[in-house]
Amino acid sequence: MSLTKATHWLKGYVLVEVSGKNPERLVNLCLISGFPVWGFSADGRSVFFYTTLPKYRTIHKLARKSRCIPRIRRRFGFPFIMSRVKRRPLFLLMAAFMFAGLIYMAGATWAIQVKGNETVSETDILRTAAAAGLIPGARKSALSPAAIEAALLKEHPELTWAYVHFQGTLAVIEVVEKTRPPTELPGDVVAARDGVVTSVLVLSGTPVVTPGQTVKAGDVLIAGQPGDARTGARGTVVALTCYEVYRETDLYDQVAVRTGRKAEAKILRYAATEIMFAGKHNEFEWYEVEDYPEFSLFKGTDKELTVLTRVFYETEWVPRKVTQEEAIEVAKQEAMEAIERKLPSSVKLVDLSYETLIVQEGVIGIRLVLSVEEDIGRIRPWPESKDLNGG
Amino acid sequence: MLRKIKQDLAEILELPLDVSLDLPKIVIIGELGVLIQNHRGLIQYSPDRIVVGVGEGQITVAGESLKISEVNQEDMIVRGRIKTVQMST
Repeated sequence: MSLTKATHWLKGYVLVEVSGKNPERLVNLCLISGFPVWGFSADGRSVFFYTTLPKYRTIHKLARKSRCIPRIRRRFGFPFIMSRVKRRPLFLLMAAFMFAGLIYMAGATWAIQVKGNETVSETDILRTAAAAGLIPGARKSALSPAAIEAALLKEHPELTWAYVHFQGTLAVIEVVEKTRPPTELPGDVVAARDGVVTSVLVLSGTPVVTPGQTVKAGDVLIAGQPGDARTGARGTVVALTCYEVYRETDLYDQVAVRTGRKAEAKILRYAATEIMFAGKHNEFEWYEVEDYPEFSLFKGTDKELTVLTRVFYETEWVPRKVTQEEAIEVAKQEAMEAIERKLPSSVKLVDLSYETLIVQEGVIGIRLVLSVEEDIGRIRPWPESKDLNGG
Repeated sequence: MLRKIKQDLAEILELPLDVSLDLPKIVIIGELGVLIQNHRGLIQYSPDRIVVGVGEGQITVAGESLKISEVNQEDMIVRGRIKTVQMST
């Protein structure tokens, strides 16, 4: 709303219908007298225009001079609203009452939400909060979030952090529960994989293997001390281990080649929304897409407005013979990716070798072998320690 | 005679003729609107015809759904589907 419109609204304005022999004369008299008049229209018999309420009160003098009859068709603005309100005092009272009620209701908590709990039940948390005064309907000003947080931490030792805050009339209780490290059961350190031991570091127990020794998966590497003076074995046994993977690839593949046919669409993009306003949708089964921005506003913001041309190029698949070197490279790449997925992150690469095999006409195979150093020791709990811990 | 002298003087002094001779100036915005400057008042107003007084003549704007969107003592903007703008003296 412009300042002029706002001023007119505050003063009040009316839609005037002027009928008579020469309504245009009244319009001219209004213009000469400096009346604010705007929004003219006509229906053939009468002329309509808007003018401010204070000026309309003086328009009758001009109307007599021009021998026209002005009539108010519609009223707008603050003075008319006030006159309606004055006629209905109960309406004003009710509006004030409703507003006061709304303010009062907004000062209370009407819903409680609990977040972050897994082992401690929501009911228990809500019960503790209720004991501290946080119940639906409680006045926010009467509540102390710090006191509720302290009560929650005191009542529930499983919680390590609690935070109470309000979002409008919603009270949110956020909690974080304590996480305990997993308890390791006593046992022997055994080999998780086959390998050749390169180093042994014993923290507790008796070493059973020495560097240079070949071990199989499941062999005991460091023995604990069972019996009355039970002491579980702990330590690190690094060994040289092997990982192997095999991949095959064709000596023929297909490449997408553009046929020369294309379709263009004009697109208006605002944030993540796109609207196509000209051109054609894509009708090709196989195609490549390229966008050519033409015009952009608010670049780099999340409200970027862009007009772009999107071109769909039709493609077809054409068979292509791959050279042996290319096929080996592809197979090697695939094999490396597969082996990297199998490897633990802590391993150290020692050696990498591959072997190429011609499987059949048009198919090539790659066997990739990786030698790595890794900690192969895993604790295997003794059967009695499982029983003792209810395992 | 006086008008001719005024015109010659304006041309010698390179003054705009519409200002120096108090002539109307009409700007037609395609078929969407007409701006009439230096008018002398509204003579006739109906949805398909608006006649405006200017100096020694009048301008007739004919069309459909014609409305005077803005008007003051000097300028008038007529909007609607303009068909013809005619000036007669």
